[in-house]
Amino acid sequence: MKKLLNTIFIASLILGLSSCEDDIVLDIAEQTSAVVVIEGTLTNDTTQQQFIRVSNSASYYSAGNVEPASGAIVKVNGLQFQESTEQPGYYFAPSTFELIEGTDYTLTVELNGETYSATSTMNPSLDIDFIVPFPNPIQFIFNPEPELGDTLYTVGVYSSQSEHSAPWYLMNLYLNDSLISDNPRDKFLIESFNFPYQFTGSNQPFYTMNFDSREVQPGRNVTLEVIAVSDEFAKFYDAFVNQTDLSGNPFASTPPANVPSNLSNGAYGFFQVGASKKYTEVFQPL
Amino acid sequence: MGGPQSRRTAFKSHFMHIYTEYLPFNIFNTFLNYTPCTIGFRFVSFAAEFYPQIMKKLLVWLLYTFLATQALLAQEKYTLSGYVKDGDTGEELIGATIFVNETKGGTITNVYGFYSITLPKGTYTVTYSFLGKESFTKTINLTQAVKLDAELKESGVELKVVEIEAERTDANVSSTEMSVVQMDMKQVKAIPQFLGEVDVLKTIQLLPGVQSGGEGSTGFFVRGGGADQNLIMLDEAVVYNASHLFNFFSVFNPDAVKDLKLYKGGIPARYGGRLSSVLDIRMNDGNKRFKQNPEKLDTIQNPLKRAAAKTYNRVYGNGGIGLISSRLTLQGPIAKDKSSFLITGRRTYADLFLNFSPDTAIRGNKLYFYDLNAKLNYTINDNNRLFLSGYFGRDVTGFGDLFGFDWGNATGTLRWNHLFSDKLFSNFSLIYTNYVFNIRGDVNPFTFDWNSMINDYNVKADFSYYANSKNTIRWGVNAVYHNLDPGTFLVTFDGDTIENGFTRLSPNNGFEYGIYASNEQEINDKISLTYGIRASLFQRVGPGKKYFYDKTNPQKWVVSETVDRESGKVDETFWGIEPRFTFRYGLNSSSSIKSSYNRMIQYIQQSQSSQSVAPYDVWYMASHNIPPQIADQIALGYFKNFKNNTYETSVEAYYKRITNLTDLIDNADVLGNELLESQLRVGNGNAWGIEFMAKKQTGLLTGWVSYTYAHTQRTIPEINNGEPYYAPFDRRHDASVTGAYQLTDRIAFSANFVYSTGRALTFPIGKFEYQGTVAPIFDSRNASRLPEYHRLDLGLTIDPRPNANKKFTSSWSFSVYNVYARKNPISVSFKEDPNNAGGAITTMFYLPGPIPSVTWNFKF
Repeated sequence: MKKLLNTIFIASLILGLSSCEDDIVLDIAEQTSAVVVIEGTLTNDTTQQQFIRVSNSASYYSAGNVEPASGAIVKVNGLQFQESTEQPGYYFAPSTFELIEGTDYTLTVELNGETYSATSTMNPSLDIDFIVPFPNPIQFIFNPEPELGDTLYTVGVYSSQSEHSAPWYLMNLYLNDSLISDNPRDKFLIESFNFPYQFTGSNQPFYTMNFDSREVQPGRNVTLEVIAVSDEFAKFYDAFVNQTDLSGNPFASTPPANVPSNLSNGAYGFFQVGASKKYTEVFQPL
Repeated sequence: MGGPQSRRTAFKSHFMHIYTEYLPFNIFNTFLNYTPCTIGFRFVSFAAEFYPQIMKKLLVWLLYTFLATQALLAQEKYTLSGYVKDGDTGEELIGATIFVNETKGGTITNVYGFYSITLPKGTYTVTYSFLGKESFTKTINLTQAVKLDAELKESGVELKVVEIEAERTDANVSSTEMSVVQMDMKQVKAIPQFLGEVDVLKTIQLLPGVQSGGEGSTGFFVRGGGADQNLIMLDEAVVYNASHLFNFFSVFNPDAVKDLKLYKGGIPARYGGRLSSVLDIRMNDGNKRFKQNPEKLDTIQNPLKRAAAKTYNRVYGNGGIGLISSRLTLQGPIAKDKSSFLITGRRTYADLFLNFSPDTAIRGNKLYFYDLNAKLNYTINDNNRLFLSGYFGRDVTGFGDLFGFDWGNATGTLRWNHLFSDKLFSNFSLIYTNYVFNIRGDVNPFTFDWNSMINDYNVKADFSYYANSKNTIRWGVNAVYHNLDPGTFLVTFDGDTIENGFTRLSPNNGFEYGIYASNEQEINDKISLTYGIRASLFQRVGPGKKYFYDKTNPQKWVVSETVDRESGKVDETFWGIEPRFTFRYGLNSSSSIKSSYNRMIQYIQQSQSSQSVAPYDVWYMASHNIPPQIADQIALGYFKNFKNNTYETSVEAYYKRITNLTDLIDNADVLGNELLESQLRVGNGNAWGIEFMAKKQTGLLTGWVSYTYAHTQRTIPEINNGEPYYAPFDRRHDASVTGAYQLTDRIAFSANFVYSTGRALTFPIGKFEYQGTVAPIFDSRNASRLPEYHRLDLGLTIDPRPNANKKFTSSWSFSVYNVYARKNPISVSFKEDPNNAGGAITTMFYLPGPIPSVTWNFKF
């Protein structure tokens, strides 16, 4: 719902505001000291290597990527993750690491004498019966006759699971086994309350997602990954998307504010565990 | 070749550049930081604490003096009463002055043009005057009650030296009212306009103590109050959203407006329901002038036909064609001296040009607004008059059939003026207000529909008793039924409603009652005061839902219990007493000191999800979670006129304390949220400031200079770690210069310059990366500021050659908005740099300038 509303408000912004956009440099204070940022979405997907990323925040206008935080002691339920030598700041799970549904997992990160921690519960994922793509109608506003291969698709997701297994699901889309985008703005977060949309003649839960990627075209091998996530994660994700995508938009957003975090001791980021399920098929539009 | 000399020259030129560009503002800022304002306001806030005690003593004293004057005045007295009318249109004039030379006192007409003054038996020289009209003086032998309707004609070409009346009373100095601005449309129209659209809301933003909502915006903030704390009324009907096209234009069609009055403080007891201001806008009644053509009458032989021709009523018209909209007004008498009508419409047509676009995507898009005002008045007899007025307006936006977003207001007011006697004037009103918005999408196979609505049903009775020349007593009652319906969402698939596809947000229903009494009392030549009291009561009624929250985590309220409000049953009651008081001490005939105190209570408010007021911002009511807001304001002012009232000046200082002020938590989820209350937190607000105003209303050059120094802060325990923070509309300095110069009898030139400190905003102090995306880390709330705002507008009006015989006349007005193309940010956003991985940028939206416009106005 929120995504739809946001789309609508952005549309109305384009309509209502024939104004110009310029880059400006504001008198922004430099950060006094770097804040620790922890990122981790662990799943039971054995095809992916599970990791926790630890980095430092940077001054707003500073150039380049943020600095990794090396030398931290990263543990999940007591099991230590090892920092990669090629990718400093990335701490990979040991081969013995296994996530069990229904279990609570606590992450602790020790760095420079400070400890940061967070706990998350492993919820089961959702069974997907099939996915149906159809051209996203909103694109026709800007491009009434898209060229072949230039069409944007909306994906309908069907599930016949009788009960929801998590409050929210995070959807990732892979093309030929590689994630289209890791950017939270390109992912879909679906509230289970909104999921069981039914239509006449079928009892199957249904949800649609508009993929704004021209990579998703008929004939390609598409994989949809569904990860069970918590309410708190959804709030974090929603705020993250709002503050990075819509921040400062005079019509669409709440005012600028920090993205919440579930980590203690003032660290930014989020730690989440959740079961993952994947559904793969060759994309065939309706 | 960078020798020391060339480096020196480069440095010098760089320094000079900074010096010339910024120095004036720097000196200004430094000066203001060290003025005694801060100390003064500490004192004022201290005084505010003791105000209730002082008030109590004062009331006892007032009662005593009132009874004493009554006894003194027990001599033979008679009442002079009637209406003051515009000699050209026959419409009643609001706020016309009636000055009695012998007593050096007088009165002003009320909003219906009525006046009443009671004096001891005798002969008096009475002068009736109104700005821009020729005064009318009459000697009246008051040996019995006298009814006198005065008609004031246009004072002709303003080039002529304005007749200076000796000891003319002037409201700026002599009225007990303070923190009030009254304007007629002539003044509003004299200012250069944005896109040629005359706008009352943009005009009041130029007044001291009134902050603009931002570039091109009609939103306004009065003395540190929120946009939802302004009581905006059109013919007494509350207008919930006074803007068109995302705040760029206001809903008030200039051709339909007769007069506007803005109260920033010292708000009379007859108004209630909003904390910070009252904007009372009155619609034109319709030209009452009856035109006859005697030559034509003579040619008619048939006496019946001749009689019919005599009652020929002329329709007057006026209108304008502008760059973005056109207007047309028709008005005229219906029955002679009995009734007249007015109907006026306006529509923008930018969207019509969209259809000519070569880009098929642009064709079929909708972006327009229209509004319609209509008024009918009927004089039953000398003692009874009826007025029926209405407004209907809509904004329509959309992408073909795929998406639509419409909103608009509708109001209707039926009023009955009744004179119980020449001293007791009354008005009874039935008022209906409606505001709707609708957002719909048709994204095959889905459709989406969100409908939200506000309905107010209001009954009012107001009485004015002109007891004697020293006392005017007013009282009245008012009951409103509010129905705030945040809306229904409907989602369909292939034409059928899907499961959970229909959501109804619980409605807010409530009754708001007010009862008040006040007296405007003149103690002696020097001292006059107005004191009043208003009692207000608010009752929440069902149907609806009542939520109880577990507030253990102050940042996150979780629903602990839900109770259904029983339909029609009162289940929450709030009430309050609102004292109102103004005091004037006349120093001499050209200067006075005034002071005021008012308490206001607000039971319904609006959640502002966006940085500016948006059409979809939801109104909600007081509840056990969100108590009613209370504002206490004290103000002190010095008023001085120069050169026989040619120049009016004033200095006013105010301090306002708001209790139970609400604001949204960080990352609040507001849109379509049933649990909206859980996103709000309650605290207190403080606002104080000092306002300077100098105004010249007559002569070749007219206009005003205004300056405000202000502070607006909020303290809410759960927001910003409980630390005080600035309101988003807090601006330290706000200045404007507005002037119009009559070059020749046909050509007038106008200019308008605005400067203000940038709006308070939360800036980032750092950034972090999550899943390869950069997100900002923010400083404390509203701790930084946007760049300062300034702008110059110019205007030129060419009037027709004066020719009394010509039926059709037309004029041109040209204007340029933002002449030197200053890029004033409407908003800024903080985002990832699309061209530089890991980088972050700030971008701003601004209105590109200069924006020229031309409007052709006509009259027939």
